[in-house]
Amino acid sequence: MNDDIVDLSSLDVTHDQLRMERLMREINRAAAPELERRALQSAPISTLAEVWRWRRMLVAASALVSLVGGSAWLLGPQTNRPAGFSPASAEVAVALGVPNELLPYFETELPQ
Amino acid sequence: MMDATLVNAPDGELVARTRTGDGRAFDALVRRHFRMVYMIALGVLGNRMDAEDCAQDAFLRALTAIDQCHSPERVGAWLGMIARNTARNSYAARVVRDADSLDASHPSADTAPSPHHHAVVGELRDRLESALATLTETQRTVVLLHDLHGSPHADIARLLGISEVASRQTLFVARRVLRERLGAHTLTEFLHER
Repeated sequence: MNDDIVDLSSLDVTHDQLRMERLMREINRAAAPELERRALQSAPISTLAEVWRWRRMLVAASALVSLVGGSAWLLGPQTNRPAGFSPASAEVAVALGVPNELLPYFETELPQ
Repeated sequence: MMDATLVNAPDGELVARTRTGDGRAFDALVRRHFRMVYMIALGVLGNRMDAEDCAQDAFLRALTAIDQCHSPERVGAWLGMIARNTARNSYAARVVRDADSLDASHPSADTAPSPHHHAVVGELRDRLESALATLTETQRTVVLLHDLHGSPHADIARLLGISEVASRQTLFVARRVLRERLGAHTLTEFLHER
């Protein structure tokens, strides 16, 4: 059956190296904008992925900052507080880890 | 321009890198599959110039849609489907264009002699194109992919949506028609020239 094969190799563009290189250049030139877009797009995606990977640490750090900030605000001088403010309970101070020696101070600040 | 480290890289890796905008990976992918894509386009369109344009277009479409390639390790088959669809669209557009043209007898670009080919080869190439034009689209695609590109019948059958037996039968008929159209004398001359 192979005797029937017609030699079609003259139709094969890949046999002509110069023509092939020209075609490759044209394709790559035309593809450049899309490749550039993809390269730019892939960078932010990897940054987001990195942020996502560290999400637990970020949440923990945010909670810690909130706790420290809230404690400083609660334990700070009363002059910095809004008018009429007083600590809800000394239990809050205990929960925030205030030393036992300072607890009587909070007791005196409780509203009567 | 071809990156030596990418020559043997698997298709899956080339696709993954192309998705992130790696131009060298895309270049390697095109070089690896260009022949197959070109043969499919030639099978549908029947002449080289249109097939070259179509192959370029097919690769650009593939790049745009490469995120939709669900089996990167089998990107060749995916490219084949894109090439066939692109070529068919191009063929339909050409039919409309030719219908609008008063001078639709022969594409002038194909008759221009190539500076890189001998005149005898150029003449036979034109004859081959004329002979191929007498085949059906399926016959052209089968004979080009099998006899020129070396694709196995299983791959051709998958691409065309036919059975392997049908692919073999189509090849047999296509070869016979080509030989009848070309004639033994022309073939002998051509082979001697090569």
